[in-house]
Amino acid sequence: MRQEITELVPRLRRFAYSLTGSMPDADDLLQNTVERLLARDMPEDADLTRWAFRVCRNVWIDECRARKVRREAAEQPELTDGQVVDGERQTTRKIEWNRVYAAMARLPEDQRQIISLVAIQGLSYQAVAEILSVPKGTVMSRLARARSALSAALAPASMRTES
Amino acid sequence: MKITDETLSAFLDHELPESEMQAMRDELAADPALAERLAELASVDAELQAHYGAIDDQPMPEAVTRLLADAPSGAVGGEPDNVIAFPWWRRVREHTGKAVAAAVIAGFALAQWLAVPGPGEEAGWAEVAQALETRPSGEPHVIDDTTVTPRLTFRNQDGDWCRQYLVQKADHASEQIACRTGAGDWQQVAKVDVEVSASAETYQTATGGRVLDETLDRLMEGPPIGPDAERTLIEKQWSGQ
Repeated sequence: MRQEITELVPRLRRFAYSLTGSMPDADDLLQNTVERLLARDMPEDADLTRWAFRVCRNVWIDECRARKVRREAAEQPELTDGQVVDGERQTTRKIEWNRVYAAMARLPEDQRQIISLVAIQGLSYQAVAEILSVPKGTVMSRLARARSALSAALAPASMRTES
Repeated sequence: MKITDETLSAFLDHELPESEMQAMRDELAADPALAERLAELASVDAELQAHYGAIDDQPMPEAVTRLLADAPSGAVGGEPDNVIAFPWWRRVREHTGKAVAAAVIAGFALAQWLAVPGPGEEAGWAEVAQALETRPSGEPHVIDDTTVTPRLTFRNQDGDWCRQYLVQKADHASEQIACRTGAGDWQQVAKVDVEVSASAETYQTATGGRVLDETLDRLMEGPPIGPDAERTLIEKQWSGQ
């Protein structure tokens, strides 16, 4: 079990990052999630990956959100952690960082969770529907709305950076 | 046919029924504006992956490493966290998104689509598996309307034998990888649809093995085996060392 959770940790961490918007908060959330995963028995009929994402989201709702971590993060985004300190490149990265951060922060929460699970984690619509307890059709329509909104917010730079 | 973002988005994730997937590919080939829109949606994914992937570069919090320290066979333990393998499909998806955007910008028709194989596998799998089990690399093997051409044979990180191969049907083709389980079954682990070309030779140069290169890099434990070793392996029904 520990082995399987260990393998999932990098994915959970990215998910936590997309939920919280800040790396330190993501790591707090990750830690709480791993603690809960280890402390509880997985429901017998559950799939570990889906269960782990569901637990992560629940922990976020239960604990982190109650502490308004997200709001604080939005006011003071962590820009410097681990980023390369070299003038122009850093500035560019900072702008990119802010752009994606801001675009994601403007999405409704359910859309942000869905696009994170599909676009970043590569989960199927069915898996996401189970994790979030919504119908598959809802996943499909909200995901499309999230992609459209993000593409409107990100389009100029995404075309630039793909060249 | 009016195609919404919702349909495009589901196409991007390979979540449409196969008949609609094919209809959409035809639409995309005929409609540059639609292809461009798809590229915009696909580049959203690439940006998100780059953005949220940045946390991978941060050292894993010690508290988390400690919690999981009892993991058997020490997969993470003291190693840097970026050693942990991501599932193959995520890498391929990332790759596909970029390829799509690039292809559209360069003015090409969309050529390749990732298909995530379901656990149920697809129709005709038994025949494909049979070809993988018994046919040498480099030789096209025809079963009904399907041609299976094994490309190479290698061992994956788990020590299982795997093969990359090309599957061509009348209206579409795909590059695939499958691995042989301990029980002797072949299981598809990767599949990327590629454009059917008029000439097999052009096709080979256009996309050849490349579409799955990243996946191969991740899966392969060492270099692919040569034709002689492969022949022996097939003769011994894959029980070699």
